Amino acid sequence: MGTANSLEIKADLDNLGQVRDFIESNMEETGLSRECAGEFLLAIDEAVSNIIMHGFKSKPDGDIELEVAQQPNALLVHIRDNAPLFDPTKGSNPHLEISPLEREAPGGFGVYLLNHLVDKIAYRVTDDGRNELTMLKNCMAQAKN
Amino acid sequence: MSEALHIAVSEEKGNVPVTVLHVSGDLDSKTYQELETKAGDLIGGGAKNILLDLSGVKFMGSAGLRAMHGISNKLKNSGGGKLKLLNPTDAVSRVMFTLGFDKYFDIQSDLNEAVKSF
Repeated sequence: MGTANSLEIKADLDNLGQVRDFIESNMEETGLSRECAGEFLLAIDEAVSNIIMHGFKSKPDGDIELEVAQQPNALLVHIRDNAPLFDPTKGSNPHLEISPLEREAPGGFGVYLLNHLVDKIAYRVTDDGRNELTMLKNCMAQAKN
Repeated sequence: MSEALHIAVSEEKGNVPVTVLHVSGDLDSKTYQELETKAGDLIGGGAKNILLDLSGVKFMGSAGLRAMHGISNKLKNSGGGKLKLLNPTDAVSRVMFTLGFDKYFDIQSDLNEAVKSF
């Protein structure tokens, strides 16, 4: 009996734990190393958190769909949502030279993390007009800096 | 697997009183506010030296940094104080090191030494 390869949630921060459980179950089946899995889990959590907080402005009527494909030593995840179109792979400068404690409001860290903790990331608009973020973590690859 | 956030508080006496928040479970975009609120209540009650014991944190996202920023601001607004971290798990260190923020925090590895360091 394999783990489900898709999950649909409402855009509510209460569902983040469910997202992490879903991704963790798939990573366990794929056999990703602990550190590699930890990095991917963080990247996925940041991506979904951003969609909920910024895409849907924390209104829980939005729909988010995650679909995974297990590969040898790797996991591919598609995240689709019907929030206003936004490409998180374009990133932003989170000014890492400034202490997070010395800022007016800390921000931009999530987008930095989700772009730097995966081996491949791509954004597109689906045929039905939704955001689709695709993230690949290959645990045979060299650690990315 | 995901775990609810839990915060226990203890008071330690070193050179000065130190309030230790023992944080366990998942610190994410939802739960970070619980930590910030709890610390805010303690600072409102007079706590000036805050030690965050992070040895039980199973997951932390960048929201954990928002909580630390919020606690630091509350200390500043209450007339000053110190925030230090104790024994961050890999989940915490991953966020800190990936962003290069570990250098901005006073990170301790022993409770007694940490309390004495305030």
